[in-house]
Amino acid sequence: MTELVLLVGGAIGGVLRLLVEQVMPTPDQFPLGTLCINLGGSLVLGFFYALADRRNISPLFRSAFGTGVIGAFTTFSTFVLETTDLVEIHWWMAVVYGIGSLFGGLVCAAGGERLAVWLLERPLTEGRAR
Amino acid sequence: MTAGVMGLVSAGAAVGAVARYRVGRFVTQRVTSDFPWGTWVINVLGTLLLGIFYQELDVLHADASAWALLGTGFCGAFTTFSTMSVEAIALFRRRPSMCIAYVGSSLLVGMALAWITQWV
Repeated sequence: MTELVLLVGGAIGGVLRLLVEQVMPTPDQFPLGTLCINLGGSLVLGFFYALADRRNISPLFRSAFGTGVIGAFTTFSTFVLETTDLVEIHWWMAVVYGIGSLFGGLVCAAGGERLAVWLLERPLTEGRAR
Repeated sequence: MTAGVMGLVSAGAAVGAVARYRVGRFVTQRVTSDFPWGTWVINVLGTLLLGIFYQELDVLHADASAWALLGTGFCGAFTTFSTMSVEAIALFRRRPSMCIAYVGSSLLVGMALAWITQWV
């Protein structure tokens, strides 16, 4: 069953990545599309896992969305090949892209997690006041 | 972009996601370590594969369909950036130096393999 939902989730994630790569520009051959995909995906995954750990989210949906959709949406192999290519075009751009992606991914994952915790723990003043 | 390309990418990505799940489980069942070896092996292996596919399918044979299926689809979905980020941030809180080693070695080993596939 897990593998079945991963097939569906993976297909959705892969097509979403294709669409973003098609839409995003690559100014001066800088892979902006992959950067947005990987940072956005890290944010969403950090948020989703923090939410799933604190709320009753079924393990099957956790796999389908986390491992399947977001796992397949973000990509490491394309990121590495692009970084390697950039070394030969503008080496400083490779450094910015490589380190920026890795560090940015950490910041986004942590930020997503914080956001989920904040949303879940914030007092619901409007509803409870009455 | 045609519906054919979307179909090929989605088929490759579906199989890639399942392959990631299986390889990850295979590795983590055999290695007990704080270091996330499952994702590390997946990402390094997938980068090597993408490098080979890029040379064979894109550069040498200009086979756009095979590239959509195996490159963008399979390798793109097999490897993952978001899981690495989430694992790295969890690792950072316990063992910051291992976190740096994890993301740094993923990139550097991946780049070395990608570079090799262009010249061999």
